[in-house]
Amino acid sequence: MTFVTKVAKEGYDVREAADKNLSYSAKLASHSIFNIISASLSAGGTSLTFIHGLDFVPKVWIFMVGSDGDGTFMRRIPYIDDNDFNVDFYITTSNIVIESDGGQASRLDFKVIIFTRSPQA
Amino acid sequence: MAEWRGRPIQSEDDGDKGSAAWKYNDTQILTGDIFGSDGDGGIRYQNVTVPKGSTINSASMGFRMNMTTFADHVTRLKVHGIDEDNTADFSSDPLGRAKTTANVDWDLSGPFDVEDEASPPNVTAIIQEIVNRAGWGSGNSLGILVLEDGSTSDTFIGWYPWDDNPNKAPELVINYTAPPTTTTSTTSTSTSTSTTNTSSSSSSSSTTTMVPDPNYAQGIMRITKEGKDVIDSNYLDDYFLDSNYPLLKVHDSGSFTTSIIGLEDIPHTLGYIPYAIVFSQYIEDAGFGGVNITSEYYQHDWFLTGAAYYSYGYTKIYDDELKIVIENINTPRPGTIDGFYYIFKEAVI
Repeated sequence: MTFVTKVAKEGYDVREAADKNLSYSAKLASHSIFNIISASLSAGGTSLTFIHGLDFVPKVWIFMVGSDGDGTFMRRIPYIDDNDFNVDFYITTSNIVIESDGGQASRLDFKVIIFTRSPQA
Repeated sequence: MAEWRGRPIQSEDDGDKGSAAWKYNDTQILTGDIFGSDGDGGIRYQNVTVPKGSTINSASMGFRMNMTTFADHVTRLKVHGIDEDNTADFSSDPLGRAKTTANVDWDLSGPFDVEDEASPPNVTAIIQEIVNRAGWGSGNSLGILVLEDGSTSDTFIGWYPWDDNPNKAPELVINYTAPPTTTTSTTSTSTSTSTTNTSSSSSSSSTTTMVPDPNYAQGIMRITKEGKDVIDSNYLDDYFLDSNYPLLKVHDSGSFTTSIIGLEDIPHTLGYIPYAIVFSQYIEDAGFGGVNITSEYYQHDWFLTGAAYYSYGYTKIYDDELKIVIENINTPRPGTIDGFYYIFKEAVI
């Protein structure tokens, strides 16, 4: 017999519930947040490097902060606009690197969300 | 007893101010008397996973020198904490932020050489004051200020910052005992009958204090993958669940369809900017071939180009809605954007 820890959604029997009706299962990878980092790239800057210290390539989402008449908002990168200005990123087993073509006239602010999961695992 | 240790992890996590303005991206943290000016420094630590109300058994900071001045003079410093729940990064001068009542004198007598490690200041009381704050939470950021306090003239020390060597930047080590975990559960029942116009309700609540097993790290619940030892595994990806790291939880999800020249607003009620993710595909109108141009769902951060147009799809996440945007340069062939979204409960801001 195989033992697995499961937590079912409200209204479902944990012994019979399909995976989609589980809040948690030790057989299914969960997305946990390892760290959230605020970072900025100065006007004209071309790269920004973080050492994440995980020894594997983690899943990462990076949002760029913006604002307009509707207020402050977040927009995920990669980013490209019709002037071909672009911001992208890559991840290694030690670093997260945000790269810009340097075309920004003012500081760019980012939120970097690092998950405990590796896409390689 | 558990331990947390960490160093600055980005340029804006440390800096100094001597005769010039505050600098967070310099190659030294200069502290002491800098030719008549006060050399003051600051270090910030992110994701300090010490629960609120923990007992701080000890806390100290390891500093390594990368610049020294006179060998036989005394550098007199005073170490303070920043008296804030979750101090912001040091891209702007943090020296004026509120300081903890607790502070510690840190006087260093030479001679010193580059690469020397200073006797660590004992910051136990400072850390205790910060984690006792009403608004402190595990995973917050805390700040330490190291201020000039009567050094011999022209005597100062430069410390490794993140920008020079992240592995030699000041390390904070906290040994703590987490408070007992308290779980509160509330149950309620109610019945009503319209024919007799009566109703009744009852409620009960209970509070259970769970004392952690001393054989395990206190305050941490951890489940590892099959075959991985829950106590000895230090590889984070071996964990299915660790209470130090919050799970991403779905607040809302759904689908949408809009015109290629349209704009779709998805409201939410969270009151903060959450994580969200949107996927979409672009399908041309039948009169123009009905081609599913993107063929499959892409993250809604795409760029399409045709013979005479460009089209961008992206999502702006506000504290009350998602704006699913399609921007067009010249008019593309008409069609629809078909997509779906997830809004998570966790806050980006």
